[in-house]
Amino acid sequence: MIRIVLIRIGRALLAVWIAITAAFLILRLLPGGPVALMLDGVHDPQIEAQLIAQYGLDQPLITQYFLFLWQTAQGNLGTSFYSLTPVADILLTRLPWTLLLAGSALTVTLLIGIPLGVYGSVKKDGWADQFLRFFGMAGQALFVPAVAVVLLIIFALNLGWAPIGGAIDSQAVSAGDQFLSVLRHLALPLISLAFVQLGPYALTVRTNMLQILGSDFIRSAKSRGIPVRTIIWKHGVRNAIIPAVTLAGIQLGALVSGAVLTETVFAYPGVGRLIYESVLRQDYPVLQGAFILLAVTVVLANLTTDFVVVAIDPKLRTGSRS
Amino acid sequence: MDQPTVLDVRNLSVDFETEIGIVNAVSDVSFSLKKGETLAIVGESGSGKTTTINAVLGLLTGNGRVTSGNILFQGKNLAGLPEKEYRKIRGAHLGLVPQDPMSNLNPVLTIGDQVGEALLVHDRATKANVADKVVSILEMAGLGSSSTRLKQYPHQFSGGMRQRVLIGIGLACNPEVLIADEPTSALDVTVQKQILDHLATLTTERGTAMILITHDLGLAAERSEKIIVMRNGRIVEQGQSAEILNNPQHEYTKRLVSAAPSIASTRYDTRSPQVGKARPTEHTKILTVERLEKTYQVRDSNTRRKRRFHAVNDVSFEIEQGKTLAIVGESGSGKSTIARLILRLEEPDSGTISFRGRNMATIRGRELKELRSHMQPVFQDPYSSLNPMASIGELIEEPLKVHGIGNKQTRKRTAVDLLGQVSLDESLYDRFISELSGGQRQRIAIARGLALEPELMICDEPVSALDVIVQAQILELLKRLQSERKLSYLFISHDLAVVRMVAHEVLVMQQGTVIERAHAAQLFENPQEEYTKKLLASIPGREILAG
Amino acid sequence: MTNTMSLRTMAKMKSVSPSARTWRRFFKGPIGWVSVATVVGIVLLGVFGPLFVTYPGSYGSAPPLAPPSVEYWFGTDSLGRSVFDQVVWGTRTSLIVVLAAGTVATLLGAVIGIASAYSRHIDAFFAVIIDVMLALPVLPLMIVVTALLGSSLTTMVLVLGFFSWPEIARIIRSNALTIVHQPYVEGARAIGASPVRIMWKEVLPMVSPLLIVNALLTGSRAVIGEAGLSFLGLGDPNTWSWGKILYEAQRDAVMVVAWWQTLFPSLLILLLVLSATTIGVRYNDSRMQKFTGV
Repeated sequence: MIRIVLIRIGRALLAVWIAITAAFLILRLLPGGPVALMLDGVHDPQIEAQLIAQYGLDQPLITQYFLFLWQTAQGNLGTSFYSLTPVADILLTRLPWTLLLAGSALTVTLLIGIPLGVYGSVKKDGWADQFLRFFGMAGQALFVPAVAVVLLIIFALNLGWAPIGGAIDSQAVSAGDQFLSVLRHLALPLISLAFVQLGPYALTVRTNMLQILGSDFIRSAKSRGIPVRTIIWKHGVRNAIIPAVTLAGIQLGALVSGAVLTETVFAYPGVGRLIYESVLRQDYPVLQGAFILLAVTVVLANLTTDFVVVAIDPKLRTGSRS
Repeated sequence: MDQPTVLDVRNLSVDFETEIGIVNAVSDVSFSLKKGETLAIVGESGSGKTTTINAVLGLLTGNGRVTSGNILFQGKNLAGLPEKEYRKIRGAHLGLVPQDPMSNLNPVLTIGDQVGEALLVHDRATKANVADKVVSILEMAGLGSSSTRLKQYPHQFSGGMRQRVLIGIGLACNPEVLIADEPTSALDVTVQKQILDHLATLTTERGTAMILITHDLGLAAERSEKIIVMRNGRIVEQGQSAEILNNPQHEYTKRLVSAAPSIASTRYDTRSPQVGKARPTEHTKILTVERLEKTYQVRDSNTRRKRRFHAVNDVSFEIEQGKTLAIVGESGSGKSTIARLILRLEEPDSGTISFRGRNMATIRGRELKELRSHMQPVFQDPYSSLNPMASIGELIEEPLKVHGIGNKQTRKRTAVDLLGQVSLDESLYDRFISELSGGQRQRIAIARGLALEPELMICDEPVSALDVIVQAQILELLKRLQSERKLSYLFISHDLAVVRMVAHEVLVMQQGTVIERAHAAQLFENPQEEYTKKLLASIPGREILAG
Repeated sequence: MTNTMSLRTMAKMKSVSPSARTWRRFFKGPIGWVSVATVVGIVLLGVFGPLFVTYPGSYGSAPPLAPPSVEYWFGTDSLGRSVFDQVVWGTRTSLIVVLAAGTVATLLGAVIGIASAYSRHIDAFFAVIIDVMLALPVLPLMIVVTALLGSSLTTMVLVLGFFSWPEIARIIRSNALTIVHQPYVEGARAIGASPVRIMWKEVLPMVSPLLIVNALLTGSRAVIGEAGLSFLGLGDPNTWSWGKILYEAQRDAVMVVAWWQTLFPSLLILLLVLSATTIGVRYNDSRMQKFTGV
């Protein structure tokens, strides 16, 4: 088992390294180089020289690369072109909101998706199952911003139940008020994100369950007189949970991507919206930093689900005899 | 002393609803089982034997229904019993030992959990004492170090061990009737014997009545008092085992008896004097294998160290023109690896394979391709050894196409001709194999093997996946082709009885090494090595016939 | 085991090729028809629509932000341009994206997937690449690359195609792995067939159902990807696309007010992706039945 754990960690590190390297290369390969962007049309040789020295751009590429790696490892992600504040600081203020959004969306997807999928597989072709199959396919076809807008129109504009944008009401003072305010602002973005993911996820859970329920050992369990409920949960779900967890890890990557779109529509101040803003403003250091941060987050999340899978799958835990 | 009847099945009929309409799977089946008695249901695939016991257990798959008849058990009629009641009976009074030990245990639950579950569900144990009871059941089933085994998972056990677990579970609640569905067909022959012996002991001790499902008549006769022969959903004949074997009445039963390898093989000495006798004259050697070696690097997951697995260890033999050399062994013996090495699907670590004056082990490229055309394979599983997306004509012609022989017309002519040679109708040319039976597919595989007119055919368990009667037919076909074309065969099999029907020379292998080698008749009449004797003794049905 | 058909029954049955049988099953019932009709309709709209509809320029002559009416089916945007016209021209772009990106991703994914299944060396090389690419969040990656390469249709197609192939490759690889170990592939090797021939004739046909389903899925997901990128302002400024329509709505802060601007393009996205996915899944199901006999 140690071996598997080490391999997974190694892969995660490799992924992070490649993400960082890609970010580095892309920025450096811009026509005119990053300096041209920073100067933005201003022709001042003195400032230019200063910037070049600051960023070490007169050094060979390899040196720049290692400098970059070193700086990144220390948490120094450069300075924003736009606001001239450290990128790391900006990211730190934005990250919690994205984590809140993506994390709660994932939780909702799992909490509703797994029971729904199990129920659909047990009551095959029942109303839950048909609903599931339809939404499983339709979910992949929904454009997140569209869902967001529909929700906004219905609940914010017409019913006034939820605010139009933002993450928190700046007027809220007490902890209780703040908490409620956060929830109210979180509701619609959360639903938009989760709505799209839920269907396909539950559908996969259903498909896996069906496959498991058709296997030999289920029939054998029935032949021993074991009650149906036990068969479904103890024998069926216990097996189905493994691919469900693996899938959850993959979903997180999709959720982060979806969060970029959702945050943009709702003006939700997370890293996703930051990416949109930095594209608009051509603020490349921020874009680069945000990308690295998201990449690391997703890789870590996948690593976590990998570990959970190793913990719950006996075959991985103990090694097979074959 | 007359024992009471425990199970009485009367006029049972089962129907299935399918895409094409209602299919009558079981018709008017009646039999009874006495306490302590063992009854065997023998039949080929599609005979309805599995459906019958599914009906008895109330486990018919989705669209199957019992349409008429009674299943009388413990004063109740199981047919039409509500599921809630049935659950109380299943496991507690009606036990099942399912067929495939690999897929019938839940991979994510411990062995202890699964065995204990059967006890707890039927109140044969409490949470407090279940662990102890499980330990005694596992010991009863023949598994040592039971207390460690409790926490282990199925994938950590071998096939034989898993089957023991399944037997333990089946007998855990001391049912009155135990149904054993082909309980050993997935296991090696020597393991089979151990397990069946053990099962017999257990059921005799407890007075359990047993229904044994099998396709092997010899096995049925050896292990049960009564035999029921089923075909196409009906009972064709039933009676005492010895009677059925020595004095079959029905046409079909007679065919089964004569085709059963364990039985048929004993007849071969008298019938065909050619097979088995040592030839005084020298014949051309088609294939000479010398000191063949193949080792694999395997990671032993339990000790986590890399291990060298000696699949083939210093193996040498030769095959004469027009003769059959059989390699016999259990799993892990290396026999299939040898076939793969000779076909150059893998490369040996050392040794030579002399074929047509060249060394198959080392040649490459065009030479190898050319040589390959003289040596063709026939594989075991007729369902996966032919590409299901190609038409039959395409399948037979493919070897010709690969070697650029002939044109479209000549190839078609050859293919049609070959169809005839394997006794298949030429109209099959445009069809697809999904419409054919296992036996027919294997004929196609043979036809394809013949396309390039090879001198040597490597047959890797060519009849193991086929029903008994079909087996006999295919073996007949192979023998006919051999005498017509002077074909040589390398015949790999785990089934000694089958081997006896076709082989001139036999090589017995165990764990990669040649244990014994002799002319067929000599091997069977006068085996030298212990292992060979053990293998021979494990052939089911041998004792009945000797006596 | 399968039922044996008597020879007489077989002779009576016409020799229907498996693909004919697949299509027959496909079109049994309304779902097959509806999904195909929808896709055909959208294709026609994209191919021929622009011939009848003027290209929406930098401003329009209609009243701005007008809701759908008889005159303007899909309403107008803040610059007085017909949303319907925008949708029609966007359809053409989306079709190009589906085709081009889908093709790129499928070709790469199929070749690499099958080759990885066949040769352990190739597998070792690509497995790492695929793993890493799948571990990273796709949209941010595509955003970064597109932002820096400049937004054009070609860039989009390449980016979408390039980031979609790993998923196909992984799926095809695991499917092909089971096939490569089947006896009939070994049989082909034993006959002397070359690896390329084997991969082409034996493996590819067996993975093609899965490949087709995934090609359609990927192609349609590319539409959503394109919409996403355009929505964020990274679309080709010289073409209209469905995502761009939403981008304009977002930029003009009228997303919630002018619901028609968001709804109609999204509706078309939904229709295209849903029908393409349905076709893929249904085709696969229809084809699979073949292997169990009649």
